[in-house]
Amino acid sequence: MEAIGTYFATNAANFAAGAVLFFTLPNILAIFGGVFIGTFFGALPGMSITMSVALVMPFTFGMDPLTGLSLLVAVYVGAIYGGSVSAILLNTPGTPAAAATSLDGFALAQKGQAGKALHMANWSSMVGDLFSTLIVIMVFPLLAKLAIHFGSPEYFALILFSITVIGGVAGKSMILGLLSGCLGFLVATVGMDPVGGDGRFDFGSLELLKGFSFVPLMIGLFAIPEILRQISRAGGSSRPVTIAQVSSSEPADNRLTWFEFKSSFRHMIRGGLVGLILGVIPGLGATPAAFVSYERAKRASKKPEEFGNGSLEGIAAAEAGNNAVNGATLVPLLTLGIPGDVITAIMLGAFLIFDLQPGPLLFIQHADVIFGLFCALLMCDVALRVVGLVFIPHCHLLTRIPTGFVFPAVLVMCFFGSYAVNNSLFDVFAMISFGIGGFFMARLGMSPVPFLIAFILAPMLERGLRRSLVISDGDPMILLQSPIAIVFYIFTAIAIYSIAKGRFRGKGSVSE
Amino acid sequence: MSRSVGHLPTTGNLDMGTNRQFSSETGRKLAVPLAFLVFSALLVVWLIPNYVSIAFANPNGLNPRFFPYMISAVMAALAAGRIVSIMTSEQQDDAEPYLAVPIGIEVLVVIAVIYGCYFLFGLIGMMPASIIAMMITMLCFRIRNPIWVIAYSVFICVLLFLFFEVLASVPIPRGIWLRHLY
Repeated sequence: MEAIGTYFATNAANFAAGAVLFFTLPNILAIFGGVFIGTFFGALPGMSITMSVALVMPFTFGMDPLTGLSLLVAVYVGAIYGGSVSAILLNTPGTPAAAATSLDGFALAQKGQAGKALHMANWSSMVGDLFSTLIVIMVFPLLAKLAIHFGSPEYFALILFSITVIGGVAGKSMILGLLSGCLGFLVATVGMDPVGGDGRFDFGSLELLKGFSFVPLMIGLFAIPEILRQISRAGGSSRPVTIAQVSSSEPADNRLTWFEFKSSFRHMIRGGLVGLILGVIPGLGATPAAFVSYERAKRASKKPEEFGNGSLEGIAAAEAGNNAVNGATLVPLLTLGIPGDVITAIMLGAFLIFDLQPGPLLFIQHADVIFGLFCALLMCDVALRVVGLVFIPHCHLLTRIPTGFVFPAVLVMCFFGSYAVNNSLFDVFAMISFGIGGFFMARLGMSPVPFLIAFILAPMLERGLRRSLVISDGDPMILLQSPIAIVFYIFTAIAIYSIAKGRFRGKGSVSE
Repeated sequence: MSRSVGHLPTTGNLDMGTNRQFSSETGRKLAVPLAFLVFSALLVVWLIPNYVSIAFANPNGLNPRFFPYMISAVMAALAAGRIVSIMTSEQQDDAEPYLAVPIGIEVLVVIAVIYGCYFLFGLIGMMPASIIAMMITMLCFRIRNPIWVIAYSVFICVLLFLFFEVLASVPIPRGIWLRHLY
């Protein structure tokens, strides 16, 4: 007990020192400016979070270390949130992490309730991030110990559990949803083998040997089918059509009520927890967190049938899940010096530029800077809300502009955005092809969401399994020797059981 | 009471028109799983053995062909399951494929424009090709005012070009024909 008391007392003292260091005018301005810039970049399809952070980085070189790091963190937080804006308004996620948000956000925008959806995304981003950051501040040394125990077998078990999400978002036909997932798995195998580097399905092409990039694929799957659907709508009408399919909306349609916030709050907290757990583990990132959180919320909801048709709970879960990753991804970086993804690798570079070496010694030598950075993360949540309050009343008006002005602009944005990811025209071709493919998949009753999830998780799953077997000289028992892995296998079994039960119950009620 | 297996009547009570309608609907639904079955077979017989290299495979673990084979097997099993469910299900299937709804001419035009625009990127550059694509797409969206169409397309594409080229330092392709002009 005494040790726990000492632990929390030390944490509190460090937090106070960090707060004193952080609360200066330049730092606060850096946070508000960074969140604004990040939100703007995040809302543009193709402007990845990585690119946003990388663009701002050169401006931080002349700044005080905490100010520079705060600016980078603020851009990161803003960009993750910003992805939801275009996902809701245009069904074109600005960032991969916002793909889950578009499932319900755009449906609400079509009902003339874009403002409500944007407010919910804003609040849940804030609550999810706040919740996970507070827990990170309290227990990050323990979380770092958890992260270090994640070897290949545990990783495999975790991804296996995450893949059950596909069952929850398969659409009306489970088999067609699973077939869509299989296609995603197959497309993910194109390129270099993740273990040995052998070429797979490259057909002698260097571009295919590199594999398909995620961002062009996602932009294509969501944006192009939506553009083609909107053209069909516009073609069938003699008057200009808008995204919002109702001619007028009440002011209440663009406000979030206390009851709506309250009923989604538990999904935000659950999303915060999911984002925290998945964020701590290097390499997972915000996108799986959003989908896992969304699927868990759907299963726990009293109105699961609304998910995919404009559920505020769905938006709350997805946004809380992806934003909760923000603070958590910093844990392995700060405590162990392990960058979990590209963005934290850029952050690692920034730390080194400021002469701060991430790792266990960082907390002994620069505890005030680290806790100052946590204060910056908390301040980002305040800034998110302020940015939301300023822009949401104007943003939702986009759904009232004729689609003939909106979607052609989205189309060329997709061209430029897909190209900008790797400066490659092949990515543009891939974006177009997956887009047309997604359009026909939808016509066949196949949801593109399982495809997307499988595409993200397949390389991780394969890497986890095959590396485990290489480590054990081919002995599959290595997969069952870790208690953490066994816990995830149990979770997987429970998830499959509950999905199957939900499906049979659904069929029963239909036949009744 | 007449009972049908899938949508194919087992009794002779239905007239030929209904029979033909049921057959074409079932046929349309069967097309997707059948295509997946054929694709799985192609993967196993031709694509994986020829286009998945195992030159650097680690002898202690799974080789690079394991996952593609596994996916093919799962895909074939699911497709077979789908065929069985279509053939044996009494009620209408839960998925609602809308292949029967024709694709509008505007949609086909835009698909052609998107691909055409991609091939123009290398010739006239991304910005001019995007302006052309945007103008045609706006016309397909029934924006009829030519001033609006031209001005808006040029404005958006130039803005995006400047944003990516100048601010984000992304070298936007200028095409082999027009690269000296801007």
